[in-house]
Amino acid sequence: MIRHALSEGARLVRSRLGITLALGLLLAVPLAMSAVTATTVGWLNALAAGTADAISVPVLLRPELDAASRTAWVERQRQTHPDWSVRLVPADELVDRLGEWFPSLSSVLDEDRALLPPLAEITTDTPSLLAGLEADREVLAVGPLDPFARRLGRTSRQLATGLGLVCVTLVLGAAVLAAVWVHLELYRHADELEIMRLVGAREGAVRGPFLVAVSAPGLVAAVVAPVATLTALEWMTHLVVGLGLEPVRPSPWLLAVEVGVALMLPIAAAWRTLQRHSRLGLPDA
Amino acid sequence: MIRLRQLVKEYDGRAILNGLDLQVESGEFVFLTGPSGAGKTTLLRLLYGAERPTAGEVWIAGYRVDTLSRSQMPEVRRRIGVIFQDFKLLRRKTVLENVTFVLGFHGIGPREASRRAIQVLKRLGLHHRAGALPETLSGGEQQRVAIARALAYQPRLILADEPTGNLDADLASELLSLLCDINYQGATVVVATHDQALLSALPARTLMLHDGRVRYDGTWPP
Repeated sequence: MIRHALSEGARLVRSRLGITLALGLLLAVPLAMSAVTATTVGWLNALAAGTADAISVPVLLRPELDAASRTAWVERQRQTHPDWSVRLVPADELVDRLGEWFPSLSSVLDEDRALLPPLAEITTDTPSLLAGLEADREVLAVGPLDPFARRLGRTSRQLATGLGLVCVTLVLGAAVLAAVWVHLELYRHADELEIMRLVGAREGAVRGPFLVAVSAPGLVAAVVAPVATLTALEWMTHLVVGLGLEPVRPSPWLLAVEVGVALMLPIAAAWRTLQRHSRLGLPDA
Repeated sequence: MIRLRQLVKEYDGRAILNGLDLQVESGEFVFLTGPSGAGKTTLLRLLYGAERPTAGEVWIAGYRVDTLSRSQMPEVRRRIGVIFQDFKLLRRKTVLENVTFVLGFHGIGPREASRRAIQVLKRLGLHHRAGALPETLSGGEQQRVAIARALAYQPRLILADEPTGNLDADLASELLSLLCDINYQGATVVVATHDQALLSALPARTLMLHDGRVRYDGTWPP
């Protein structure tokens, strides 16, 4: 039976070589896209990691406020919003920060600390509420409520959802195409299949050649998809390493899943089609 | 070997077989005759499970065929050698492959299958066409390939639907003697035919179907 399945399956593949390759590539492309997306999202999330849900927002107070007024303002905020963590950034820390961001200002800052603006820092889970501070007469400006890392995390989630949907659609499309191909081949060989059943062939013998044939595009995809994934990620790594970022490395498990899906999906689609087809032969008892 | 109880088969409300009761013992040779549309082919299709009856029971070699599931059906079919009226040969396989591939389903290895197939083809005078494709054969030759396929695995029951329809008198006589040989070896043979010469050539049990019932059961001519 296995010999029959292999020889007839090979004959099917030979007679439909173009379709086999096309199906293999149709399956490989979305699988590679999925793997690249998953890896990229993981990479972006790692980049955004370390930013907890609570973020710190800088709040610039009016320079004319004296030390007592600044402390009073901080105390007022703590009493009004017990869930906020409010502190005045000490002058030394502010000098360090500004010196790091603007090295050319270091000498000026060291000379006259009176030039330093009074800066408070509020850590909260709900930074949007800080927008209300902009109306405060003692506040000069409120820092960005939506920092880059948070936006990066959100973007990576949107990317994962969007591209994930596209990839799933494409992978299912490829599976449907494999099923349609098997369906058409079944009709092309309907006479032979009927004869095989009538002379006592088990369903395994009838289905075997089609499962062998459909595993050929699966094999093509199982080779092409990981190669395409690694190539794309290598190219991305080349780009991001130049920006001083971590390389984009795929997980071996992800590649294994990619190969597994490439091999199993067309076979599963073919199996389902063959099951449906076998029901057409003989009415239920 | 065969037992039918109150067998009814209807197509679009029209009864082809109408309450048929029949018993064929193991080792019997039975002719099934009757006018066109009497239900000979339908009865054979019910016997090898290509169709299910509207009502009644079909028993073959202890199996109730009309209630068998798809997965159980091959078990029964492998005990039956069917000679189809329209040959049902695999177009893309050679004469030899058409015979050997069936033997493969019976667990016979390729070498033994080839040996047996060539033996049967020799007996039917077709061994010289073993490598030919069915479409290059005449109607008579195709029929003989279909017969070779049905006989190759020595089934316990042979069902033949108009097996001499495309054969000349000599080949028809040769086929009949072949079926008789197999019957002498213990196989049950049921031949559906309206060939009077064939019926007269062998004093076997003959069942005449008419209006969906057995109208005559005995040797031919009545």
